[in-house]
Amino acid sequence: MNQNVTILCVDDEPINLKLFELNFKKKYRIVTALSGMEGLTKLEEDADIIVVVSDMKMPRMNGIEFIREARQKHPHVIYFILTGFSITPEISEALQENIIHKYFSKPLDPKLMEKAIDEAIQSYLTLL
Amino acid sequence: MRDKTPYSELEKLKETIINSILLYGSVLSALTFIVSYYNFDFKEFRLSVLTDFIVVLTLTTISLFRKRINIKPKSLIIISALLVLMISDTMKMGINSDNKPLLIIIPFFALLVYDMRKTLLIFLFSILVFLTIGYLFVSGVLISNINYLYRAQQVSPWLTNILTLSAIALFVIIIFNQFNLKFSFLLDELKLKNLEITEKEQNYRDIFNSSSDAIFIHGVNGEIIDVNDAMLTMYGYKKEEIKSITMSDIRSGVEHDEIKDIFKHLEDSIKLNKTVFDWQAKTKLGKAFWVEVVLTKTTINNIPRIIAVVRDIEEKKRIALELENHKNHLEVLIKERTDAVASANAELVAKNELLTLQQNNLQNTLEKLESTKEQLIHSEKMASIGLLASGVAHEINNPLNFIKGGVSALEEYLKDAYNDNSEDLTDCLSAINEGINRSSAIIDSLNHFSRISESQKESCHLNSIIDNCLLILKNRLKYRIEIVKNYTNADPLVLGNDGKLHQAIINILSNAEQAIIEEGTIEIKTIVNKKDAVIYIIDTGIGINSHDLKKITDPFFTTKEPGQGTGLGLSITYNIIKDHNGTLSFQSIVNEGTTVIITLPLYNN
Repeated sequence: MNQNVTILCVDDEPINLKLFELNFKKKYRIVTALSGMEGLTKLEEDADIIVVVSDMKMPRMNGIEFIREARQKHPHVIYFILTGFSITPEISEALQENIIHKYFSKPLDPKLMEKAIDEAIQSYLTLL
Repeated sequence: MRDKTPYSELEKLKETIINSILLYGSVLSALTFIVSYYNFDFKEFRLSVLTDFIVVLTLTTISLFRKRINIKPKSLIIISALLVLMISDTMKMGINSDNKPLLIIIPFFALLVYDMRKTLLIFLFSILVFLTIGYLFVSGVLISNINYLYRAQQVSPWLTNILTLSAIALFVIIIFNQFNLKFSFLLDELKLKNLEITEKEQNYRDIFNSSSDAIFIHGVNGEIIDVNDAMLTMYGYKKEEIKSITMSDIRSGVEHDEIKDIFKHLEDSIKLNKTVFDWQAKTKLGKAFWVEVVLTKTTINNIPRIIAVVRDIEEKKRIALELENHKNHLEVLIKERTDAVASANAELVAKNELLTLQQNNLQNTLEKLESTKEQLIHSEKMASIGLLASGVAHEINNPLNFIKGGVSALEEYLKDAYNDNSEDLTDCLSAINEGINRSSAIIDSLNHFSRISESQKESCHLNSIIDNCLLILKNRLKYRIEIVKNYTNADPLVLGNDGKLHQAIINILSNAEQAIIEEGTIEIKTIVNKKDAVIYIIDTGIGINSHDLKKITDPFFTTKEPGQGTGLGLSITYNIIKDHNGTLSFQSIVNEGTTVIITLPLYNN
């Protein structure tokens, strides 16, 4: 299907990363990172990454901070945030600034995520 | 009296003269009678002897009673006696009559009692009588049978003559002597009186001059008749200059309300006898000075005069003026001070009012603060609960995420591994998913209360807010209260604070739940009109009486037992709805139920 689509998933919980990989490996190529710092490194290393899904609550650098940083060098990547909270002012601000494409609440429904990713890629491709 | 005195003196004098003459005259006439007739033969009747005798007798009698008889009859008797003597003797003796000199004395007596005219008439009458007798002799009617030569050789005619002449001389002497005596007495008296008058005059003059006030004696037209020494000192004139000065020389001439024309004052003094006024005078050197003038009308030597007593009040006036100035200055000062005090007072009053206002404001603020504090505490409590809930939610969401992710992956795996998806497996997976979804929904509802956001610009879906609230209250409603939802299909959207609206709705739902003691129904109806969304929450609870209904949104109003409620729930709700530009109203019937109506403006994007 979209094996040429590479998605970077950032979460401090290895279980989440593992489950994300299990749920989406059939459709996309999955790259994972356990922190924002690692995520930035992965983005540098892998130019194929066009979608980033980041957890919100992480030590040292939260999801929005990581995405803001990543956006500096990789503005064309589609960013999603995943949060255990419902929407926070920080997230709503990021949404308004178009820093992130969309946000998802935990527990994540993989089908909703898949749909959103596909739509985003579609519009992304249309733009290209 | 004064006028009468000289006359009475004169009358006395005349009386004295008449009486003296009567006394001496009667003696002399008696003597003459005796001398004339001592060698007379009384057997030969002669008329003249009889008349002479009667005259002498009359005179002697009157002389004896001279003090009791008035002067007029006395004088007339004397005149008559003289005439009778003269006539009788002349008719006998003719031109050689011894008594004809008596004619001379007649006017003297007449003059003593009559005026000049009558005197002359009497004298004329006497002369006519004499001339008539003379005519009778000349015409020969009367003939004197007296032998003149013989008579001249007789002693008695000579004696008679000398006696007659002596009487006349004596009378004259008496008259003159009496007059002389009287006049010298009167002159002495006059001198004495003059001396007295001079002395008095001097005294008056001394008094006149000893006065420290200037005194003028004016004529009625204001001319200066006399002045005292004080006037000379006061006005700086010399005594001899006074004759030449007039009123215009001694008035200042300054135009002033207070200085009435001096002639008006003079007129007043004549009219009223006395006037007192302040005036401005002028010295010889031209210096003006204030005086107090007393004008008094009087009469001096029968001439109407005005006496002006003039007192120098320059010093008094100056002091008065100074006092006036001081008074004015004081008045100004007092006014200034009064004004200052008044304005200070006004300021104080204003400040006081301001303070009262501020105090009231403070009181209100304090009350507000008190209620806000309670509300804050309440909010804080809610917030802490929310924070706790959200913390828990997050922590639960992660493991839920594991489950969800795991189940999701497992589903795919099972699908691939076993083509014949047994129904049991599907049910199993569905159950797990349902569990995850419900847990997630509860946590999501809790999350709405934990919002720390103060934003008033969130999109709030009223229907889902109500559902979230019902979800949280589910445990309390279960098996006891039937929830009837009549939602509009329009999904009413309101702009505001999601968390706070949740709080408001849950308060109302919670109250409705508590109002139902055992079992009942809560109907929730949402409708949308042009501008507003309206939520009806209708319970079949115990209701609220009309008295309490007015106060239910007051802070701290509660019908619950102490410790059971803060009384802040509906107050907070009311404020939240108000902050969203909405309205909150209640309808209630006791024992039937309460309807709460919330109106919120729709967000039309």
